[in-house]
Amino acid sequence: MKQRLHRIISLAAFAVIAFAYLAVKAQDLFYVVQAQDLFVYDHVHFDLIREQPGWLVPYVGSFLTQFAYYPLLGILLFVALLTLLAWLVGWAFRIPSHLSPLALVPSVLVVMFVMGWDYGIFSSRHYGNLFSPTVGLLMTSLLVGLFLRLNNRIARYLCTLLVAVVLYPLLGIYVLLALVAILMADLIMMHHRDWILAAIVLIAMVFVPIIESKMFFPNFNGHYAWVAGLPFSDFFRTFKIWIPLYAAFAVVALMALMVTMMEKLSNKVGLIISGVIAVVLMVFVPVSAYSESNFRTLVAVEHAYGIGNDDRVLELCTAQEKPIRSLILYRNIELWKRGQLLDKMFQFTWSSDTIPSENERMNTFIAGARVYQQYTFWNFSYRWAVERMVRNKPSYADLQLMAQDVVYNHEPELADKYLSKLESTLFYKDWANNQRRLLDVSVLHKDSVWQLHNQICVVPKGAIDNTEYCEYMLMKHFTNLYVNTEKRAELSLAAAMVLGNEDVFWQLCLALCKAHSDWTLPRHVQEAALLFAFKRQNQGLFEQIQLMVGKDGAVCQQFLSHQDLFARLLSQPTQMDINTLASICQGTYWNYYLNESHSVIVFD
Amino acid sequence: MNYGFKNIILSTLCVMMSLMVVSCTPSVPENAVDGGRDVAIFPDYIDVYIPYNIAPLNFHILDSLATDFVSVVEDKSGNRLIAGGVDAQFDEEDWHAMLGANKGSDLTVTVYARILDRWERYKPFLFHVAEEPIDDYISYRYIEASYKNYNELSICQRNLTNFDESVIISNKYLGGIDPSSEYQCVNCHNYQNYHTDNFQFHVRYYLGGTIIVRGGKAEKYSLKTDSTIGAGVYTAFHPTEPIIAYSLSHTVQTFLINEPDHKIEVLDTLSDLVIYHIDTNEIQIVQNSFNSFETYPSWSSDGKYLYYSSCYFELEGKNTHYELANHYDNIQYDIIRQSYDAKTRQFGEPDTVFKAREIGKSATHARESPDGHYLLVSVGDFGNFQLHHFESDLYVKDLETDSLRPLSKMSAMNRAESYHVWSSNGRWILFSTRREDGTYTRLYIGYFDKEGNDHKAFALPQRDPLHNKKLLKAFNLGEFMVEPVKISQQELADAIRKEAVPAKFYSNQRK
Repeated sequence: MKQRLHRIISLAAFAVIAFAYLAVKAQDLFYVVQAQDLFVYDHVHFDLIREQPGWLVPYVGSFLTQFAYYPLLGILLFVALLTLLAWLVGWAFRIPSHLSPLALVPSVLVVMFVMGWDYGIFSSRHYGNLFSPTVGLLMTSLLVGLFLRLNNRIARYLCTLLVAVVLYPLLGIYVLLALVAILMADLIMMHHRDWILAAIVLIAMVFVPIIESKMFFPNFNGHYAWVAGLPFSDFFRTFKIWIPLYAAFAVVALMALMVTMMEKLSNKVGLIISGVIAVVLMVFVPVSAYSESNFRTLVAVEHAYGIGNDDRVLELCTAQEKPIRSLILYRNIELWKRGQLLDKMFQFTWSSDTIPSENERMNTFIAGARVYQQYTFWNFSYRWAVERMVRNKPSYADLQLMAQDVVYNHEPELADKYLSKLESTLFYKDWANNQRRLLDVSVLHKDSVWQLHNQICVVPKGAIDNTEYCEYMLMKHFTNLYVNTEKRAELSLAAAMVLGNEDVFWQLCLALCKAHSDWTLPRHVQEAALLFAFKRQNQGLFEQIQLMVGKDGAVCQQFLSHQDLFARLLSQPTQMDINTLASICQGTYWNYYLNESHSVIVFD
Repeated sequence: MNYGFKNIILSTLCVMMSLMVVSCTPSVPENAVDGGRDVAIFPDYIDVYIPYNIAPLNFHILDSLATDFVSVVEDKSGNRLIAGGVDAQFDEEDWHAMLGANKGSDLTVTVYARILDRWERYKPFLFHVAEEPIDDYISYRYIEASYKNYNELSICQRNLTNFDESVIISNKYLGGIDPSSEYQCVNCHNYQNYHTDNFQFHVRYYLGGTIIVRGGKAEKYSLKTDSTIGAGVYTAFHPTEPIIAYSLSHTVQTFLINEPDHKIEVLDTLSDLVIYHIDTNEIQIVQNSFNSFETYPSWSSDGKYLYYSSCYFELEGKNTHYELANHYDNIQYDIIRQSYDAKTRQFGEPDTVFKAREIGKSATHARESPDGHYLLVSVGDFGNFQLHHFESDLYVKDLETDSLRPLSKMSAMNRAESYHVWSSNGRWILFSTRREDGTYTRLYIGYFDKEGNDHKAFALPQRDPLHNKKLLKAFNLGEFMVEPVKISQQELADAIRKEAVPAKFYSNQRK
């Protein structure tokens, strides 16, 4: 009873701690990884996954990943399977109860692996990454456990060969891992070392992958035959990410050795050592997790967009101290939607951080489609969603973007293609049904997004753009908008200010003042007007602008009180002047124009 | 006793299995009433002309009200093929037997639908079975309908008499241990006179080069020389000589902001024409003027003429991409041909056989019929990449009467029809189209009869009739073959991994 208690306590402790930790730290990550995955019940999708050895693992992994649509449900499932894995490892290797914390090690390492993921999740080419290591290790442990319970030597030889031949196409590397673990267990646990078995295992490990990958997977690159079943194309350059998973493999392979060695210790010492190992690893999970602030914010933002919580997007983007450009663009979109762009857009930093990635256009790759979609540029949004889908793989997120783009573009047959896919999923059915309503033109024309498109995306027939840079393209477009609505005016003025295009700024500003005599100049417009007028060194104009923005207003007073500084900054700025500006005029257009604007438009 | 018991069990099993088979074979509803409605099916196979050796034309019935369906194909002698369910999938053997017995005749297809508890009969339609067979094989590129990025792509071959598809070469197969070395482009496969002992295709980027297979052996060549603007692009293998014509192009993409049916325009900023002499490993220039763009070479069926598309555009030369992009809708191509003497390697003067610009159009992909009687072209409003041009349709020019007409029955109007090829007997045309959803290119096959009349085309048959709807990839560059490619993917991959043999430049003046 006491023995069983040890085991139950260690499993329960792991389950509770893992669930609590992941529920606090990984809900956004689970949701986003799920959104980058896809599980549909059709042969085309099945054939796509089935093209490589070990396909069953990602297939099942992908099936399970869909439940992370509700992150807590996904986490619950994830932890339940990891707990099952820990139990199965204990059972397979006959780990004595006082060493039961040792059985937790592979599960903890899998958590560590997942929490170490970085921006690579946005360029993942494999399905089911979230669950496939767990599924694979479950199968490995099960095979080892069953094998070690076989007593007949001939049966063991036959089973080893059979397992390798029959299960390699389905389980890939996880069968090879099982073979290694079996061999190790046999060499260590058995009294008479069975060299025939060792030979069979070695031969199977070398030849089965070569032969079967050629025979059953004619299009599979044989270089990967020994890692088939792993997401080997993902995180390729980031070896660090893989360490926990390889460590988990090593632990499973060497578990028999570890158990044999620790069995020699007294129960108490064994319990303490195995407990310390498990606890240290668990403590190391948050330490080793990829915690780059922009990455965490980005996944939270993607989650918020995924569930339609735009307020949360704004909250997250504005709270980010040094955001990547994707977050700056999202922030501006949300401000614009709320009519706050010209009052608040420069209150937050424009200096951006870069994404640590080899993909030189990672921002466009991650956010391009959504940014264009928010501004109702359906063609460009569709393009970038397609580019991402093609580069990675079809996913819920990209299908949603593409479906929405072509629905609004009124391409019914194409929309039907994407919506049908989403309708055959477990959790995106309702969303797709809802979008399908818009295929009716009369419904579409009443839709607010479609109406917005008619205000924003106004270009002559045949207009083209060649730039690959999302932010630059948008700014250029907005400065050229024919302004006859408030939404357009806001975007045009904002773009003119961002680009520092004084001519367009004055043109728009004066036109708006003339058209709306009661128009209260937004804060940043006041700031820009004062700065641009001052820059022209025309006292008459400068005074006129002071009257226009309100001479006694806070903005004007602030400008006048630092007039000398601005004069220096516009002629021959020193680093000290720039620093002074940054400290006393933070959150103003002046700071942006004179200090931060160099970082704009490099939206990669 | 034991044997008796076994016999009883076996007999029972046999009877049960027979009953199951019988119960699984749908029967024609006897008391069905005429619904008087036309049936809607996908793919649209209604009243199409088909070769007698084609794979079963399985179809999906589009009727959300009905709960069950029975589809019956019946010949004039009353023989029937029956398929049950919303997806009518016919037995391959029975299908071929029926088509083989009905060459040059019509088959009547009747679909029955159960709505509530009543069976209704739709208006029947016909499969017109032509007397002429189609080549047994086609090959095509299987690729995502993308812009710049691509991932997995392959050149596949398909047996048209059944649903067997196999990969000739896949980029997934080629990469090294570093995944970034994967996913190079394989493209532009082309065969010599419909046979597969001699053919070629290109590999781009990593391990790039042109793979030429001769007599079943593959070699890799680098066709770029110091005197030419690049490696070969669009390809035409001479029907008899060891010569391949290539266009050489620098290509850019321009994106349209707000046109749903025209999202991208592909432009050539440089485009010349060369031929490659395989035996001597020499590149010979055919056309290389700076202000004219030549592309899509194609040999006449006797190999005495080289057809191509050509466009003259006055360039200032400062920023060619910018200049062309700003006038993309003024770039129009004519069809030219030049005679060629294989012995002297001399070309005749260019002769404009289709002055498309004069009628405000752009013509590309000239393909002469095997009997030399017709010239098949894609005609769009402008540009040369008709795959992205919805307005592109197929036209045929009678080379004897000099008359031009659209293939209005075969070609769906304004659905980006292009990249067409003739079957070896000249009775079937394989072409690509975006008629299904406007984006994913699909292969269709149309009948062109002895009198030169075109007929409604049918989609490449698939076992699952909804295959095209489910598939997020496109088919393009379809080519007919009379036999399958025999060289293995491994042999091709071995050739690709080798160093390319650099081609030499052949100066016309020198000779």
